Amino acid sequence: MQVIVVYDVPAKRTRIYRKLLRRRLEHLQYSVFFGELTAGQVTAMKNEIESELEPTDSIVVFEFDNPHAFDHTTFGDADEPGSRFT
Amino acid sequence: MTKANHHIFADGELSRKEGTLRIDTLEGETKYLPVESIDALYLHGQISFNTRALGLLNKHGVPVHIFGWKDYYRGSYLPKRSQLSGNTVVEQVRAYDNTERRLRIGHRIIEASIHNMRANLQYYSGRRGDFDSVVETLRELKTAVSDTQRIDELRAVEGDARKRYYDCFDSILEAPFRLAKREYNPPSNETNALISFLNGMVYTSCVSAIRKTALDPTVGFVHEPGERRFTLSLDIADIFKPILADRLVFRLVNRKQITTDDFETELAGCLLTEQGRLTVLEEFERSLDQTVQHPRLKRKVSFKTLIQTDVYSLKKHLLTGEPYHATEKWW
Repeated sequence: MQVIVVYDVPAKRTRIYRKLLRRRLEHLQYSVFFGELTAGQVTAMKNEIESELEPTDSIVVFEFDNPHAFDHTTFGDADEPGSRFT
Repeated sequence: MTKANHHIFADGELSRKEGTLRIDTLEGETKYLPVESIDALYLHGQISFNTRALGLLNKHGVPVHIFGWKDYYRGSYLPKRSQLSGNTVVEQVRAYDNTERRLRIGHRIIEASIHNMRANLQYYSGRRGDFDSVVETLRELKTAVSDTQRIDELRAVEGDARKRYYDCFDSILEAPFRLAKREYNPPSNETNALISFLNGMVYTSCVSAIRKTALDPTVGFVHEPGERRFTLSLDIADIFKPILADRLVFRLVNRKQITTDDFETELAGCLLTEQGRLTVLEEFERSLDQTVQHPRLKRKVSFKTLIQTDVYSLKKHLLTGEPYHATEKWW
């Protein structure tokens, strides 16, 4: 499924989430991650997020089951999300 | 859903950083790749990497396929086997060594290969010319396959079918693209270059799929096992070439997604330019993602999964004697 994760956490704690999200998702913008994951990967990711959580942190995970119900438009200097080429 | 492949065209350095892959390109860009969401990594540019990066790829079971000058396939770095089964390898070699068993598997592979070639011609018959007689010949050759008693006899039937199949390419392809004669090392014209490049991609897809099983990629059934070759991958690739490579060649050329500008002729050979390779790979990746309803699994599977199920079926056949379902186009 398509997944978007955004976070808003104290500057000192960003690396914790950046690290665990980058392994699975594309680092689209400073606190925005996007990618296609399996249901198992999503569960593992949520568990990992939960184990790191502190009251100051705010994280939102969006999931889309149907890839056809999902579209995007980029503007400016943005990279094409989900590109398989570097 | 299977994980996606990732292709790196840029030149630069591949390293391990914060538990994932990092690429620093020569242009000064830094990019991180989600190592847990990559199925296989394809390196097309000049890239240096170290053992730490390889260790990470190994840990996550990501094979790396390396392409050298002009995207000639150079080799693969395969992760440590996740599937180890002495049993399977013993059975595989036994099947190879037993003329009767080897021949039976060979029959299935070549039958499927001829069937898929025929399906392509059938599709274009009436659209781009009249191939009814060739379709009929291929049908006869497919029946002739099970009568062959020796492997070289079998290969002769396959060669015959393939020749007749390639003879139809010139009518299917929009001018100025011509195949004339299948030639490689180096490819002699644009069409040959395109077919060679895509066949290489199909081959590496099969290498990846076989690596996910305990089968030994070097022991093939139709192709004679030799040195330095993954003959089992060559066998499986023969089944999928008409579906994944040839059909894409027709589409790219006839829709003019690829033109003669995407090739460069050097010395005796003709090869795709970097832009051309990129266009071809984007479409190839798209076709790997395409899904069809699977009659036995009763769900939709992508073409990439189809390669995997084919390999699983072969393994099951070797171990338990269940019939081997070489993929014959049913959709």
